[in-house]
Amino acid sequence: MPARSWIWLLLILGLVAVGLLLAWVDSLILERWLRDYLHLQVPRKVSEMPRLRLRRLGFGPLGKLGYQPFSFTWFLSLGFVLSLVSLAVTAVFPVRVRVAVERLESGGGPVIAAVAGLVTMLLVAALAFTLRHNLVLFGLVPLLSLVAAVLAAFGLACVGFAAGRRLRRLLGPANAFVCALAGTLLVYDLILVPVAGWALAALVLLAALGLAVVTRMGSEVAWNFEELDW
Amino acid sequence: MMRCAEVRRRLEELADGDLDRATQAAVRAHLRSCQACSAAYEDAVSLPARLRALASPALPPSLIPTVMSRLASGRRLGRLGWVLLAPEALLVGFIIWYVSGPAGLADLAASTAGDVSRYLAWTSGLSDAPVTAATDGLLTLALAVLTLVSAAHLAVLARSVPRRPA
Repeated sequence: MPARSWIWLLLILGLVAVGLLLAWVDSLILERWLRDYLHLQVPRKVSEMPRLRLRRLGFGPLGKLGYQPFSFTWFLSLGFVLSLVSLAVTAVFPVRVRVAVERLESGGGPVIAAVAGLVTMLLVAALAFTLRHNLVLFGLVPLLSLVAAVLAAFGLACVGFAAGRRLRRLLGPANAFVCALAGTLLVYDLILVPVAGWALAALVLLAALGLAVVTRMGSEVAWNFEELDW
Repeated sequence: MMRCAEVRRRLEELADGDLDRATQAAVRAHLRSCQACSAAYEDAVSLPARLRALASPALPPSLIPTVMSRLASGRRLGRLGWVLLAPEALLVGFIIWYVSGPAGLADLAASTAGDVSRYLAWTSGLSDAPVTAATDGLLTLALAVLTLVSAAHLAVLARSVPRRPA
């Protein structure tokens, strides 16, 4: 195995280890801060069942396993799903990812993406609140949320790949999927940094959403309204 | 028999097929007997020579102003992208004030999320139909305007061209 491959392997293992540690720290902090809120929000009969079953399986020492949001397992599943989505999007839409990442890496690209993400959030919220007044159109609200989630997932994969490309410039050549995985894990670790990471998470989410919208999910043919001027 | 100077003058016309039949036959007869004129003819019919012989088309006078105005409009789009944040902020501020502050906005979001879950349960036959929210004309108008402004803003941002990477 070449030395460079070892570096990448160690990097990924290190990022996973740091991610686990940060997830544990975050779950401790958030559990303390949100304890009262979570007890109010999660029905007792739902929250207790998985806890009892997991204790019997012997996952007790961490003491934070359960179905609460922001628990240790919640963060673990988030990291796992993020990595999986990133790899899947890179594998299924390589050209689209490249177009979107090129746009993100161009001058002013991150700012445009972040502003577009903010505006998209406003648009989705305003539209959802407006549709709320009409029972027939109200069925579009879940669809709207689903579309926003798909766009954000694509954008997050692109942001992760862009971070992986930065790592590749530092560490030397590597397989695209290794880059995507390392970049996504790096982003995941950064957004798990207590307190400061949450602001970064919001920013990354906005930029991801905006990037997907601005590039029309990485379409090679960008938004072009000149076609309407005939 | 044609002389070399006359043949050289007619080579272009021969290549273009513009000579009458008799002249064309006379020129070709000369080319068969004269190696230098034959080489000149080969050069005349070669693609680079033909391209060089073509006159460059005159540039339309509007070309440079059009390119410059396109570049300028790209820069204006960037400014517009920032400027449109102001009406959006005003509308969001008005909506937050109208629903009695962030707590009211959180209530609105929570009740919308609750309505979505009730709607999904209704479509699955698990509960009764949700009751639609009481219509508030001013709030709906503000939300509709915010939707339109945001959509227009997204269109502006989507068309803004970022600078090339350094």
